[in-house]
Amino acid sequence: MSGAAFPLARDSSRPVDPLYVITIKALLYAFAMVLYLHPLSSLPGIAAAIGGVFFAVFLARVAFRHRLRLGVALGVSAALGIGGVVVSNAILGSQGAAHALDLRGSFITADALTYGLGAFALVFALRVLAMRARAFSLLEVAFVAGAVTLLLADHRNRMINRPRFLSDWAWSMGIDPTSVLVGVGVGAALLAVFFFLRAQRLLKLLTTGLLLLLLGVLFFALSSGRIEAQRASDSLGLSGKGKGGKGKSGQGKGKNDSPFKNDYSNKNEPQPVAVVLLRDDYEPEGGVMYFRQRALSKYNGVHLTAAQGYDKDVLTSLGESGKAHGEVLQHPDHHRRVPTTMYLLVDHPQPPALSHATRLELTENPNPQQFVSAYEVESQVLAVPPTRLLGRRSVPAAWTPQRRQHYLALPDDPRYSTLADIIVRHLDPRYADDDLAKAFAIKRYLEKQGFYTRKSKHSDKDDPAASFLFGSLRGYCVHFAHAAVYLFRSQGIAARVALGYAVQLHKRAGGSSILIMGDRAHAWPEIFLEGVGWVTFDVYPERTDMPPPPPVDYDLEKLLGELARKDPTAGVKPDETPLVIPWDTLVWGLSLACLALLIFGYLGKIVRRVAPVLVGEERYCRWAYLVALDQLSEIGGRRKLGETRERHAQRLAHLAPALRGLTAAHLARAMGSTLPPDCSEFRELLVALRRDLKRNVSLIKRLWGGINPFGWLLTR
Amino acid sequence: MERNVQALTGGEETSSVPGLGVGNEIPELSLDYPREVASRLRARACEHVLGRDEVIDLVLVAMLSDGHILLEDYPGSGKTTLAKALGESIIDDTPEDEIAAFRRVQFTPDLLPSDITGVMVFDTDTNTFQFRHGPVFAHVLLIDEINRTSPKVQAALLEAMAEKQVTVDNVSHQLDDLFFVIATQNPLDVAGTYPLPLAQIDRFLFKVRMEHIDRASELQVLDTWGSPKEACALPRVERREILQARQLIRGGVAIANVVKEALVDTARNLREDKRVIQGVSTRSLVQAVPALQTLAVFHGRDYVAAEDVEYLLPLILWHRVEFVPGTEDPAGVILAAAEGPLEALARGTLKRG
Repeated sequence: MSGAAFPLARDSSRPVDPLYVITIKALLYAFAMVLYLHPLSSLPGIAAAIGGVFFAVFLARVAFRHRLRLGVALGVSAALGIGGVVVSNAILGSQGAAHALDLRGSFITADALTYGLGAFALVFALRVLAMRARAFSLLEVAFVAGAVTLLLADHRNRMINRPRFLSDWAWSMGIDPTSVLVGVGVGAALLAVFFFLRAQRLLKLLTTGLLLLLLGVLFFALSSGRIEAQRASDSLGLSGKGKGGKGKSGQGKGKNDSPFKNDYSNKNEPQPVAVVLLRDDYEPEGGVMYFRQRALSKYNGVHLTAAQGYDKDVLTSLGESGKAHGEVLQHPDHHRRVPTTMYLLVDHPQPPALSHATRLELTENPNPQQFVSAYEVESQVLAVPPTRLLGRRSVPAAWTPQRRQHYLALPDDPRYSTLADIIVRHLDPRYADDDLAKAFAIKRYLEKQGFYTRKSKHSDKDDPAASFLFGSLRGYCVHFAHAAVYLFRSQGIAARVALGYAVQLHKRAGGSSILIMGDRAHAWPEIFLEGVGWVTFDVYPERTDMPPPPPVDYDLEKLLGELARKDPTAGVKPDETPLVIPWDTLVWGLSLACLALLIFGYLGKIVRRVAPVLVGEERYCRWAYLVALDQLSEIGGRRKLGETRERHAQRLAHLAPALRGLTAAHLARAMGSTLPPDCSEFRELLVALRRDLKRNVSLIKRLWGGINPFGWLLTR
Repeated sequence: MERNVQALTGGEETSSVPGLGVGNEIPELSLDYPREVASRLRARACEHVLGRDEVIDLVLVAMLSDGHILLEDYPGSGKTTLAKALGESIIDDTPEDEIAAFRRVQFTPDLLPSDITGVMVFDTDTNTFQFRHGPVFAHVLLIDEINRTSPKVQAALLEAMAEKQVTVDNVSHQLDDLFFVIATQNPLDVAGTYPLPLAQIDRFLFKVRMEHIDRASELQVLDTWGSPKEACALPRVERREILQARQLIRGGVAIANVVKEALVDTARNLREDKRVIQGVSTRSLVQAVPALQTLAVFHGRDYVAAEDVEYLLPLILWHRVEFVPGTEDPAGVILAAAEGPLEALARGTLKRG
């Protein structure tokens, strides 16, 4: 039984790629490997990895040719990869190795072992898989493309000036980095195509290449048009007009809207609304920066509203001239000046500005496509801790009774003063009469007892603040702010509600640009202290059902910051330098390519036509037959695939009866007839064929045949 | 042409000695000679069998390329007439031996091998066993209904067909060089038959399925049938001439390497086709070469061309291939296998000459 071996007549080796293709693939693998490893490994490690790559590529070829089983191949590579890691760890861990190789040597050895064997294992597995089934070539492409992608990862979001090493180099060479990046992309695409390449006829390859080129040009033309369009619209999510529907311009769309009606239930993704550039170092107490838009101080019987003639320190418009100066209430002793620049991404009815802004001035918009307006802000920020301000009165004696009444008005509800009295009763007797201490006590009370939630609205109540304060104590910033202001006022502390944005700085990555998102809209109380001015006096409830706000997208913040800074490469200025599609160049290039193709066609045609004369008597006949075939191809008389020459001649007999004779003569020579026809016979037959064509083929068709430069390429 | 024939035959009669080897005296003869021999045979066959020109051509190809032919047809379609006409066209130029020009055997289930090979008979005069030649000792042997006999008879015939000899009582007897078998079988009515196995069918150069003849020919048959047959006036062919023609064809027709490559590649494609259980043998390709050469001569060429391959290859191969059950178009499979090689052949000609 055992002797009954089947004869192994079949050729046991499989066809593989030619050696030069393998070499190029190995080079590509090595290139990708270097890209992957250069941040990770030492030089010897990289060198070992390159060696591993080459070894793997060539060994995989041999393994495939000799039909190594796929499982075995994959097993071997997995074992080698794991073995490399284990052995190098052992070397690093063992005393003996450290002694024998010295510390540096053992590190280098371990590195080389890990990366060399790892690279071998990976590439071997990839190559074996790819040779087994072409679908796995995708993995190879992904491997190489991944390396390039990783290298250019900084470039995402169309950061033209990233990665730095590339753009810096390009700028230093005086080249637009865009073209360098496009070049890299084209190169990567070509390399990827190379991995799919199999042996093909040159003509087919040329056609494919040309087609790819055309597709690329088309894509380039289309996509560069779209990039421009995208910057104008909101695909970066900047304008906030697009998807959200209602403009999310924070507070105060209409002046008489109740602040309690603010709708916080917007489920949309927060949109960026403004970018702030700090022109000076500033780190606020508590880590929250307040950008005030307006203040509500007038009690109209229901809630607080903006007041005519009061709050003149709050700059609510830029005025006709683009400049605004406020009433200076902030005392310079306790404040310092912080200049900032605001770049609004969304229209706002009042300009948000870092409180307490004293001066606004419109400035040049660096990027009108991105920003709706830009203005310089000068703010007075508290330079001392609030506790240092103890011992001051809130309402200055100099205030008129109207003014005093204005800032102390509160609902006609005794519960406010009762509650406030209870709260301040427990104050340290030393500060029992201090306005600021009382305010702190109230603030602490609300922080401890309040529960921040956006689910309780209270807006249908007569006095939402009372509903909040004397009810569940559950509410959001507007409730807290109003409750605090009423409590303050009941204790004789001048207070008002400020509206705007509060940005928590500890959620940021740092840097001098600050991105304000739409969901940072906020309302907070401010109190007045004599000799200091208005002090931001926000209440931070300790309990909340809100998740912490998501961190600001650092990249977006940086990008917008750079746009605002007029970084020459970050922002496009479409009016001055619109993204040019080099139509001229494209048209020229395409025409040149077409011209080259035409010249190539005609050259080939001419060469084929005169070849019979040039090649001499010996080979005249074959070339004469080719001329005949070319002439027929040009008028559409090409031999069909799989058709014998005799049948072809038979099919065209109605056009050119002489073709049969010519074919027979050609075959007689080609197939080894003992009495082959000679050149003169061919000459006569060729003349006869031309006569036939002249007689049987219409003039237009023949003219077209004469012009057609590619007919000869169809001949087979 | 007629003058030419006279000259050829005349020249021969002066120079050749009947019964001698025929290869020595023909260097000056061209391929017109086998063509002329074939035309004489064809003319006589066409005289007797109407509307079967293509089949007659194939039979002649088989005869001149030293193959055998299996005709598959309905009863009464002229198979026997055709074989008989061929046999009668051959002049037995060696009347002294025991080999007849034409024999016919009807195969039946009770036939024994000795019935066709011959048998040792005791001669009372000499008190020895003498071999009495069976019907295989003939130039043209017609076997009717080859699938009706038992495998042992079929096997006995096998040796005769493949090696041109028969062995009786351990003594081998040579058959004539011109041993040409025309076998027939009935495609219907297969109950109680012994279908030829592939190995045996492989011995036949062609298996020709004959279609019914056309209307005009059939009418003509009715007109001429039964009218007293005068001895056919057309010239006959000597056995020697056929052998000479065979030799001329083998030596005088070029078969280019590209053609051989096309044959081999087609066979290989066929073996790898999923619709094929068993591919064709190398023997089939070996047999194809003389057949192609013969056809080339019929077409007036001294080289084998692609059209010969295209025409003959399916005829040579289709009965030797075992297809997966349910394969609807065997000829299509073979043509598909031949398409690539034929294209390569057509392209190959441009690199030569």
